Amino acid sequence: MYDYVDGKSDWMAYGLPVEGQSGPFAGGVVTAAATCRVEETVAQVRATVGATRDAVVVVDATGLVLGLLSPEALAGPGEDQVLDVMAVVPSTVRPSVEVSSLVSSEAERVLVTSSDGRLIGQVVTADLSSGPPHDHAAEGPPHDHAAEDAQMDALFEETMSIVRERFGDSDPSPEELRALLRERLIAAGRTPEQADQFLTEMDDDEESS
Amino acid sequence: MFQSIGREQARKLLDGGAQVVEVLEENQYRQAHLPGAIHIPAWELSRARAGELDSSRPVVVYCFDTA
Repeated sequence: MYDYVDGKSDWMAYGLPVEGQSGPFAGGVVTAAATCRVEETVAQVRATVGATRDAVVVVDATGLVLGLLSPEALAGPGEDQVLDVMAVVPSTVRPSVEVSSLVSSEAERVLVTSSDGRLIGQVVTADLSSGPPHDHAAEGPPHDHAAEDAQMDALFEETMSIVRERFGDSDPSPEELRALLRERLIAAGRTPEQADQFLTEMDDDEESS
Repeated sequence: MFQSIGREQARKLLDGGAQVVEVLEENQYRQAHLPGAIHIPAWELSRARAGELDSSRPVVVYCFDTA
């Protein structure tokens, strides 16, 4: 038996594949980012990356992100040292971040690193498909759970008053109580199917409590 | 007895056909789990549930993090 002590958060922080309902995750949509080293000159970086208009990520030999060389710096004097003109500590995200949270990012591209700061790649936010605009109007009014709860409380109280009226001091059997509640639900506008579903959910709630 | 392992060893074991068990809550398991992981909540770890596993293959158990 083995205990993977760092667990799922560590696994996902490295962009390793997962299964389940969440996602997609940043780790699944990363693209390669141009990189350079601090000891290079701007001219050397230009020669390597070509005519890119994107920022170049400054990394060390292990891939640790040290900074970002902006397009303006890249277009500057060739003898400039990357170390002198780079922006330090760029913001990054982990590969376990859901893509949906990056869609609204103001940044054109977001760097993705492992939890120990090593570059995995970048996510170009403009490339993220947010799908067609969601039509809230087509959904109708939002579901008002508070109002429904209040309605059910009132219905239950009404049912209990009928119980007291019909049964007096004697307790109704669960079946009688259930039948009465079903009757009241239907009288209140529920279909028989909805009433049965409600009673089933009520049974489930009681079992789990 | 459990042997503590890191990510790389976990990957190797998974690649080699080890069984993986997530011990978190159902909701967390449904959201995301390691490929092929089965779900046995920590509070359900018992001989009976252990019987669902193939004793001839390694088993890797994981939680959310080190906490």
